[in-house]
Amino acid sequence: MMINRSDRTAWWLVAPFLAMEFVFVAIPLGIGAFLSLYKVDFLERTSFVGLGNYWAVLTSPAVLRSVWLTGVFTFFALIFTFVAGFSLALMLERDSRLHVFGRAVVLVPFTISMLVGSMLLKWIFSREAGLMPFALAPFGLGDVSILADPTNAMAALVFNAMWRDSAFAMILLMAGLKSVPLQLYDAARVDGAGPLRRFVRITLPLMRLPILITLVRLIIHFANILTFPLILTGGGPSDATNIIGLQLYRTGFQDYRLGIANAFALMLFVFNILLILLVIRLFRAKEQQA
Amino acid sequence: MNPAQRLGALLGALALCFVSSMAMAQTVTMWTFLDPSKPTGRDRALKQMIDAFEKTNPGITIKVESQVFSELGAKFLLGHRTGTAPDIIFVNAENLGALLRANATADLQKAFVSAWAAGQDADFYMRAAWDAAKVGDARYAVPLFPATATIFYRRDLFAAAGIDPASLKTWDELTAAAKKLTRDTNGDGNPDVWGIGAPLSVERTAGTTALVPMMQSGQNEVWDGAACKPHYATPAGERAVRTHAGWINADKVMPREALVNNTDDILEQFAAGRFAMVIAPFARFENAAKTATWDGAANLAVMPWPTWDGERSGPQIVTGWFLAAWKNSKNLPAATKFIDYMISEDGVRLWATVGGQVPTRSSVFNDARFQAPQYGYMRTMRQAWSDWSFMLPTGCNTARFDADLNAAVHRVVLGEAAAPAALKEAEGKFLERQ
Amino acid sequence: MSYRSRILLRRVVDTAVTALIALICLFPILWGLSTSLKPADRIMAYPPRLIPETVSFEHYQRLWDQNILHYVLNSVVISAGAIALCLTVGALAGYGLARFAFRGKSGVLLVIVAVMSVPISSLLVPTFGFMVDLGLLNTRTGLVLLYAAYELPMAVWILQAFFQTIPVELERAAMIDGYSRLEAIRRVILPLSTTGLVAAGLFVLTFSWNDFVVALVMTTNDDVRTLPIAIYNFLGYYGREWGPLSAGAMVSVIPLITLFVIFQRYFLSGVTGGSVKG
Repeated sequence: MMINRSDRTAWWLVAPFLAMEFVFVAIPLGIGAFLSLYKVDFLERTSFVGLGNYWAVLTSPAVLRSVWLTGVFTFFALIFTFVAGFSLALMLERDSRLHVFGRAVVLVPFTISMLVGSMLLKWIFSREAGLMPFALAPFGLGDVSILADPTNAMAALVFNAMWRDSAFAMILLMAGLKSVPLQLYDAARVDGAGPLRRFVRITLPLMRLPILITLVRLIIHFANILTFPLILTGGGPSDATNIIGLQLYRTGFQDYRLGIANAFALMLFVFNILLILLVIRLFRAKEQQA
Repeated sequence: MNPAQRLGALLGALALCFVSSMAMAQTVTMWTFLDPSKPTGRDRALKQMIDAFEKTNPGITIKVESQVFSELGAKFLLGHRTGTAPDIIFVNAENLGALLRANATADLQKAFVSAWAAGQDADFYMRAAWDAAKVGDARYAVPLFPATATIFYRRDLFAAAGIDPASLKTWDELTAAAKKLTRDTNGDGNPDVWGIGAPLSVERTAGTTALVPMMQSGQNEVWDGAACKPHYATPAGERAVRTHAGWINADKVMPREALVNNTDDILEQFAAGRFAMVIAPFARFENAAKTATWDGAANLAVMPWPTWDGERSGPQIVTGWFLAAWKNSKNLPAATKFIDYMISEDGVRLWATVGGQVPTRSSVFNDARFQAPQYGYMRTMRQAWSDWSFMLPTGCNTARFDADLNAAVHRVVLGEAAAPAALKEAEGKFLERQ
Repeated sequence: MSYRSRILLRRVVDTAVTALIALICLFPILWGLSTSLKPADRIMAYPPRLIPETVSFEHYQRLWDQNILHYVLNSVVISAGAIALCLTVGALAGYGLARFAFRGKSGVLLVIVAVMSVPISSLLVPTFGFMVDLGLLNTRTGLVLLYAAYELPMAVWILQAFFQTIPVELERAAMIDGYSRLEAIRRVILPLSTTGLVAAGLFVLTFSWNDFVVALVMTTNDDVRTLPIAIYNFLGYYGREWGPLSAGAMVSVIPLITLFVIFQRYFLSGVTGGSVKG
């Protein structure tokens, strides 16, 4: 267990970490919070507006729509990425040569720059220049447009997320799997438990923490993602894929409305934290039941 | 302070010493999207210009810091606010308003234009561009590379379909021609060559649709520049949006994918042979001819906008790149001197001959060499600019206005809203940014 | 079905599924590779061809001519600096969290979660002004510090979970032998934590090697620019240059994949260490 030597030693150990976060995250965040109370045009602070920017964000139809779309995107991206990551982890867990190759391959989309990855996907998906129509034509879908249809575009965005981040989920989950004692499985097998039963009874309960970590990381990642929609769909067609990360970026960097952007970012930040706490709370409740 | 931070502060201090010692030797820093070490014509033109300038001005060194073009404006504003901006910047028309409103650039009229010989400034025949950054008697930027969206077309496909490009005077004639040019060559039921393509995505860099020229040629002003109010939801606006939506939905002369295509996508597909006409920025002409998988040198051409009534060619929005000096520059005289040189007759001639840019001065345009056939596209554009050109309201925040208008087309194409409502939305977005 | 043929069938299915996954994962990247090898005027050819008719190295030549090595070097230096800083600071904090139950610990844990939840793009403008004040704009140090700060929560999280799996007795013994605590960490804990350190390091590497948003804003001259910016520059005002763009992407992805393949065993066992306590 813990050595309860002295609080002071512990604080000295974490101090450099806290100092770094204070200087490079908290201070800019504080400046942002300050700016969020002003009207900032073309990066110049003009007049104090109090909570006006917050009100403007909360009442903007574009923002509300982006919040809804982010919810849809995060929900599906989370499910697909998590299930794909978990399946890959289960499938590639044993160290055969084939599986080592499989893992390396799955890691490739994760290690390539998001910008380039999404650009290549956009090209492939494009009906007029891409390869997808040729793949779809034999199924009578040669005429289907992936990116110009609101639903399909959202699906493409989810695919982009799954394509890149399944490896991330796989890594986190596989590490957890590796620490499940094999004897437990052997014992269960002797008792006549099938694979599904073994998974539900042994794997899932023992994997609670890795699952939690994975879900939290993925949720934060998806809820704030900018590169995928910026490159793959540009937020379109219409505003079908204009999710929060993109809306925020455009408000600040393209419209030069920094007061609003900062208010928006701060609310997003608080929302993220609440979301994480909620997920953790849910897990705790589950844990106590079990 | 941990050691890393101390080190950082130290390095920072060193860097500052370095910068200030260079300032003594009159180093003028310039932000541009060009890069003198690269091999393209424009880059080489800049290199030659710097060499020539430094030779005649031994005390001054020009230091180029290349930037990503799409972030140049925002970064300059950041630099202005934090006192780290360069002495000279390239600024695109879309960001000109932001710079003027931030009051970040120096008055070039006072710096050198006022000292020019009489009539010199009339040499800049694109008056809308020349006066774009004029506020009262002051002039906060001067045009360098004029650009505008226009229609690129393929001579070979027009000839094959028996269409004379000069006969396309009205938008309806253009649509009819596009129908003739749309062809399904492999018989799979989908067109392989589309009549017309336009970058209709809602990205910022997409802004080259024909919407504004259509609106402008059907009504008086699209924007009230003094009050920064857009007039989109007008009969002309509705007609423009309906025409675009019609190209996709009813006439089927433009693929629906155009909704998510930006300029790069459209031009790449044009290069691949998927379009007979595309709407694209004129500045891309040279590159489009070079990357074409068909014979670009022989078959690529431009035409001016049609209008509704066909009585004259349509209005060209003047965009492109301008030069400005940072107001708080420590080397302002040297900086403005180099700007003066870059737009002098010698400078413009270099940009045109080595760099392949359209000459901004009549005197250079009248050089014998520009009468040769391969400069035909430049003469077409010059004529169109002289006929009817206008600037965006530079006093307003015009960021992403084109994306707003494109979004209105999306609404109509996808059946999410009718044209008037979609245009009202676009007006709302414009007003929200002011 | 005999046992033997069942094993065989299983292997076939296993191989087929792995092949399918490989296809989905690698296809876009193979497309990029193919593009990087096509002559400039064939890149846009329609219908598209996966295998280039003629192979050309012109785009790689162009990268070389534009001194790509300079940017690669900057990326290496900056990533290495960020990893070193992140692991040093992260190991100390991770150790503190793993070994001590101190007042305010849950506050520190909250900081980890909070920093992870900050949308980085919203920090850029305030950070820019602040970096100017610190004299860190346009410095490699500035980027190292920022990358380390953004990735530290992940590193601390991984490392503290990992340290918990190392028996306390080991360092207690070392301290009885007269080592100070820092020495005990250095001599006993860190050598046993290679896997955790590698895992944390690879996460920092993935971020700092690929980041272009932060680097784009915080640098204005080529002296300190990183590889992703050099690649991003091929999305120019006069058109998107797929050839050098995809060649650059290949150049940037190969070292990273190599490292991941070499270290993947460490990586996997290091990520959540023994944090599964059931």
